[in-house]
Amino acid sequence: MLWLDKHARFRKKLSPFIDRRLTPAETEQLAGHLASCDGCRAELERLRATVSALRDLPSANVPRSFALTPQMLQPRAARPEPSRPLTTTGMRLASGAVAIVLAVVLIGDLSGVGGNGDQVGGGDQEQAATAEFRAEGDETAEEALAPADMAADEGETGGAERDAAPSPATGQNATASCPTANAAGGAAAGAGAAGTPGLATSPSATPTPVDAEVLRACEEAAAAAAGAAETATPAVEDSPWIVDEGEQAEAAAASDGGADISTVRAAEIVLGVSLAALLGALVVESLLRRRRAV
Amino acid sequence: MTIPLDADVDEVELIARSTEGDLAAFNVIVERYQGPLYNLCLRMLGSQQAAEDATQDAFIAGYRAIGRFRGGRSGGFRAWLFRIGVNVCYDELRRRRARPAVSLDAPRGEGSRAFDVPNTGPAPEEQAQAAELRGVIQQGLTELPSEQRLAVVLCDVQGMDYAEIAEVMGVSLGTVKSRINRARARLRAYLQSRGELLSTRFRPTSGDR
Repeated sequence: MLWLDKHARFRKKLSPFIDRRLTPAETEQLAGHLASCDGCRAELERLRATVSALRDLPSANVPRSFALTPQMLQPRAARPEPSRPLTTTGMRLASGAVAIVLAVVLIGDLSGVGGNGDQVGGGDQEQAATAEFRAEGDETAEEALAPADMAADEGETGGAERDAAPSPATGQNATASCPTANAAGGAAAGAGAAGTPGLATSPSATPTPVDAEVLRACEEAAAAAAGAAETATPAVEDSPWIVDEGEQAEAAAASDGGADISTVRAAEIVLGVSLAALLGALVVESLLRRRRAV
Repeated sequence: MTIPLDADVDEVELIARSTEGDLAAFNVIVERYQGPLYNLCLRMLGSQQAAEDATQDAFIAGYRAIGRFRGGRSGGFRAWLFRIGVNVCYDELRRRRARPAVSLDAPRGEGSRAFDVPNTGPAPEEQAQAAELRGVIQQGLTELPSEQRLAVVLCDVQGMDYAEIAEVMGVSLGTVKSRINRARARLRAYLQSRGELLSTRFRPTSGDR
């Protein structure tokens, strides 16, 4: 082992020896060893021959001038990028569109099903919100009439509704009644006027103080019950009209919503799968293109 | 137009003008260095076409980056320019590794042809042997790890000193030495296995550098 170590150590010095990079002391040591070691001397000769062969390699002449032209200095002029094929552009657009549609469906789905009890589906909510807005602002005869009709049908409970609405304690109750009350904002005024038949004939449902009170209470209730109105069934014992209304809406929603839910789910699955497929195809294609590109 | 290689004052001027956007001045620099740079790329990449592309890319990159050249270091401008060329070669070698379908070995035919030079002296048989040796050497170079190949090419083919090699490669002197050592030893083993180190074929050089 010592023999191998010694020769290995000396052989490591052969290359710098050829390049005259050993210290005088190292040179002397190596020369002394080489004088008595055939093996290391032969290795030195082979190394020298290798270095000579490398040094004797002829310089190749340049095949052409490499002088720069202004065109070469254009961005990416030396290696023009392959134009993206139309299929890739199409797939990118399709992916974007599918992603947007999927997002819209998901948002609508999440906000609709988990929303207020009697507002099942975004449509109802939107209607109620619109109606509420209108109730607070200008009110036209038609808007006032529609909910007014509802209220007029249950005219005797209009008072109950009015009484129940201002009590924010019953969160569900109030929340449930708020939109409908607001929707019937104009009607509440009419209902508040003891359900007079004049309701139907009084198109101008300007908010009365009662109505304003109802609205204010509703707003308070809505704020208080934010997020709590998830139960479908508002437990309003003292407002059969509302219960009916809520149950009506819920039933309607259930029948529609059942179909809606499964349709929505199916749409989400389809969109999600196609989005994943499009993205996967894009990734694969870009990988392939990168491999082919110079 | 031949520019004397020792015109260092000229070079400072040329670099300054190039930095200001004087393309003609830079092209004088190109003419001065294109031979050695092309040969470096040729030895590193083993193919004439690849060497042409790499050389052109290196000069384009050099022109764009010349504002960043800070003179005064050991090796100076040549080392700085070759460093750019080396990076271009490394990029190409990396691209080749990413596409295994392309053989890393230089096709023997193309490799040998690229290095053939008209030989007026020795007899035809010697010419043929010399050509064969050159082809085998390039094969051996191609089989070296790229860092060792670069070190030994800069040292023994380009004739650079260790300090300038360290500059070009961006490594320490010790690393340069060890890479040269290993490259030569491997190349020696390769040539020996191909029967190219027979003493009858080789005439030892009269002296070491």
